[in-house]
Amino acid sequence: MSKGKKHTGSMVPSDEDLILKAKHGNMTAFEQLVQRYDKRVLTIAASYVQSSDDAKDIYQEVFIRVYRGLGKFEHRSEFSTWLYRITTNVCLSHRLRHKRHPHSSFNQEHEEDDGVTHAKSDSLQGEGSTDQRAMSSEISDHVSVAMESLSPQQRLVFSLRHYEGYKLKEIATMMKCSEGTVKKYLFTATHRMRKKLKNLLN
Amino acid sequence: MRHKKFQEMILLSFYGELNPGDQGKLDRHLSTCEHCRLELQELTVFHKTLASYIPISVRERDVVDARRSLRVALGGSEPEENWVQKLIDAVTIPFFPQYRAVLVSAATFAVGIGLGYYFFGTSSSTQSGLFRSVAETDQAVFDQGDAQITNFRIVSKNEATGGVEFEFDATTPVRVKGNVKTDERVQKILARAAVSAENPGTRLRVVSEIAEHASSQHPVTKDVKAALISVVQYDENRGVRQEALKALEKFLPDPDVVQAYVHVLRSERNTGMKIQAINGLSRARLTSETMSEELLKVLREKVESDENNYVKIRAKATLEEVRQQ
Repeated sequence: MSKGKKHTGSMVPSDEDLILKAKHGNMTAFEQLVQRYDKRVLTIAASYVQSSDDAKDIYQEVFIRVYRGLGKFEHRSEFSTWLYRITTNVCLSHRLRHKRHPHSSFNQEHEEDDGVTHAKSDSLQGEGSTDQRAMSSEISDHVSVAMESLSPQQRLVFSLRHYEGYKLKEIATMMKCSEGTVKKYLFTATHRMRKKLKNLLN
Repeated sequence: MRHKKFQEMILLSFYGELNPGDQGKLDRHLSTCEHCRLELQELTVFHKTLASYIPISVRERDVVDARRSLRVALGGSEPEENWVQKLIDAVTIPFFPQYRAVLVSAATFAVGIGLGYYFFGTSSSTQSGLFRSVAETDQAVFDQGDAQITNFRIVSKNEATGGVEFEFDATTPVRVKGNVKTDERVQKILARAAVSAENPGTRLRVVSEIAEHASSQHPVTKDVKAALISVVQYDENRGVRQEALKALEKFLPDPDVVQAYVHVLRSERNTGMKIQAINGLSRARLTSETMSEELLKVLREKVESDENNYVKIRAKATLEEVRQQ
């Protein structure tokens, strides 16, 4: 997977080294492995569910599966490929029984953060006038609604391709399906999104 | 049908997923087909709309929370194919089912001794990753010189005393409580975070924290000074560079800091930074002795050729002030 890190320097242990140690019960090695990839896992999850709580649930389930399955990992693929495949599987099987905390999206929490220091970082990440922010927020709401209208597979493919920048081939590997199927999900997702956002686009 | 195929190709082209042959076909088709050109325009608007807002923003705090929950969850979980279980199963089940309880107890005792050694032994490579102590962190992580700090967060601080509590991930999550004014170890960690934290907001907070407490009464370590200079020269975020420059002003006329000011005036493209640097020099009331030859030279260059008039005027005024002192 092109996004996976390769650690070949003498000072930094490779994924293989860490996996080997983790297989023998070394929790520190496992944590290092987690920290190499977990932001991306959480980002993928967040792009899929649009809720911090659900994304964290997915994150936890992914790494528990990794932890339990590490003994069976045989290096037939890159660790990252295996990990992201688990992530997409967990995302797809994640059932939003009911929308928990419908307003606890990552972005809204950002705005409700607890102090001046956080506000400083916010301004760095999203400079702009109040009007611009309000406009962004409105677009965001519409985009979220449009995303919700997609099927789980379509939403995942759209998020991974559009927001995460994965190639269709990589997504196909992650989802264990053909590239043609992924293309189909992307086409349908785009079509539906455009339809949903028609008023906004006009 | 034909249009549908090209419309799909337009979408793939947007994502750079079209091979050169198909891209050529699409370009030729677009030059003759009004319908598909319209589709291209609409798709462009669609992508611009999505690009104007990125709906996903995972905060460092969310990652930290997720890691904590995972750690708690893993507390009761064992990897599959665990060798201990395998050993117990291998020894007890096939051959001596009637002695299983006794053998399991013996194996558990042996494993207990092993785990005791694992968790409380002297080897650092087998430590549990849960919240190392400051001393361990300082020695095991930061003295190596290559630790990357991530997820830095200030938990609490006392403006009056300089007391600060913060947490971050190096190899494993760490929480530290100390005094930024007096504790070299704390300063050292902050210095590392100022340079290596991924999030510009985090770097800004760390540099602000250093700037707030740095003063002639509470001199900072050379690590902090070096980190601030490095931030001023190389940080990609202007806000962070400005904050670091503000902090460095307190150390003028330190020769290394003067050199950093030379760098800003010579290489910084942002006018605000250059003006901040000149104003800082002016406030520090440097004399021709404390100002390096190079700094005087660069100020003269600014007077002569800077593209911004205000920079020219301020540089000239500063040179004048130096002459009068």
